[in-house]
Amino acid sequence: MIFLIVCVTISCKKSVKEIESIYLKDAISKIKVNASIKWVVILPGLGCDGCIQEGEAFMKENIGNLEVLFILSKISSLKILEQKTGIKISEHHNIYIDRGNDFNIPTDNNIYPCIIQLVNNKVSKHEFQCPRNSQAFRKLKNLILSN
Amino acid sequence: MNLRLFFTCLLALILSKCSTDTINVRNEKQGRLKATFKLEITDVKKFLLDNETAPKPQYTQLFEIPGGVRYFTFINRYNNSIYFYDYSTCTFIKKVLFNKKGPDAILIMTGYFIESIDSIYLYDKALTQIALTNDNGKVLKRISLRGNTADKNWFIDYPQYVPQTVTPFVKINDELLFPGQHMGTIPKAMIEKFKFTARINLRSHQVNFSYLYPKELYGYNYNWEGRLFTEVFEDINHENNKLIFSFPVSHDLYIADFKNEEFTKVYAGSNIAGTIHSMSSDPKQTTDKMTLTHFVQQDTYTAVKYDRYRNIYYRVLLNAIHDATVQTSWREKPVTIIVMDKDFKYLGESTIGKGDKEWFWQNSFVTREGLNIEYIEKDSEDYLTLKIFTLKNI
Repeated sequence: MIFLIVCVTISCKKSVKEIESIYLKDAISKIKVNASIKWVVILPGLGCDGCIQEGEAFMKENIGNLEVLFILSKISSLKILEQKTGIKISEHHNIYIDRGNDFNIPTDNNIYPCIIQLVNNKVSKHEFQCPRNSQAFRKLKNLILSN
Repeated sequence: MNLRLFFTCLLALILSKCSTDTINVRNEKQGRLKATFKLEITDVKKFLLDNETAPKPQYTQLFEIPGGVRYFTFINRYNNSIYFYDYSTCTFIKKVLFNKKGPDAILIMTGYFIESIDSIYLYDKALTQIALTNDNGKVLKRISLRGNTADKNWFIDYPQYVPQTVTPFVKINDELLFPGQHMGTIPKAMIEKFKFTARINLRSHQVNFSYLYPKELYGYNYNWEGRLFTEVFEDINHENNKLIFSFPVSHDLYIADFKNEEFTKVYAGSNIAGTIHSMSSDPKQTTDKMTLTHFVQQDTYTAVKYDRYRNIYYRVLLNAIHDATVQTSWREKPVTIIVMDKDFKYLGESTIGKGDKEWFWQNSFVTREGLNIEYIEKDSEDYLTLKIFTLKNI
């Protein structure tokens, strides 16, 4: 009986990936995303330093690509981000500043940059640039180049 | 029979997993303290920042040179430097840059202590080292805080350091005290061994470690996961050479002589703070999100500051947000300042607003003008703003 209860409890529990997916679908649906957007990059200001640096470097190289929307969450200083990337944030329409903290992903992965693929303006899949998945931005760059 | 044995074992396993000891730290004087004073803002200082500098620097130090000039200094992690301003006039004086490469490299500077212009002790987080430098950025000496430097697991036995203005370096005689902390739950086997403060002898450059965590708060494998519950905030009363320690989970302050590591406890709680609970889950099963949510839902104490000009103490309380969810940042917690007289008798407390969006309480320090706390300007990064609080009768 106990075994059965444990099995049922485990099977009912959502996986981290599912929790993130539901959250991201909801959060993305609440902001106005241009139809041209195919990729969303959520760049946290606090978290894994090395992973965030990868994200900042990607943003610097790809800010002119209007198929990518950059969401800046938990940014401690826009001024320093502008210095690091050389990007004047107010001049780019594909940057969304998350002042309402609406992209605070409710799992321990929220310290990593998140890459979301959109299909027909809807979340298709997501992954994080993190020590276990350190090639995420490189893969995205290759995908963008191959399109 | 075998099936019954299997279920019995499974039940025992489940029960053992749920049996983490918890501690409930009660506030014995909650609702019974009588306030006679409150804090009021009586002055504001605004320091104009350059293009490479953001407000909310991780570390600041007010440094006074013979002759009376007071420098307000702070770290700039972006360009690896320390900025100097004249505190009285708010004018920029200079910045001291440190190399990121070469023999004088400082890789990740997160804190410092200016003893004099030609003796600046920097903490390099990347190497867990103190580097003695001068205002030309020349490294004169490096001192490891890892104990046995060959041991890759040094962090099990030795503290880690997250320097902030409210966890400052403290100089006593020929020693520099640098408070660190244990990251997360302290294993039962470590509670009587792990010392959280490094003591650097400024003449011999030898490093020793002092001060154990109070066993009644952190012993018995109580689940205090994450970094925030085990932070150690401290200040010194130079009049009597007593160190005052504030632990986030205690309504008391712990006082020690710098020569004697035994603590004396004194009540220093808030009238509004409630019981502080450790987590009931198994530390190994506790996620970062669970820890942070629990932290937000508790009243927790942080900085303690001694005001030598008024002979009083201030203590910061971060008020609980009881309906916090996993989305709530711990930085949003409302900030309350408790004030006590020289004998830690309660004088009053004032809730000044929210952390994160209004107050960067981590940058708090005392001058003859009063208690300085960094204020966060809305939608502007042009200035570093300090608001200065003084006591008023109610």
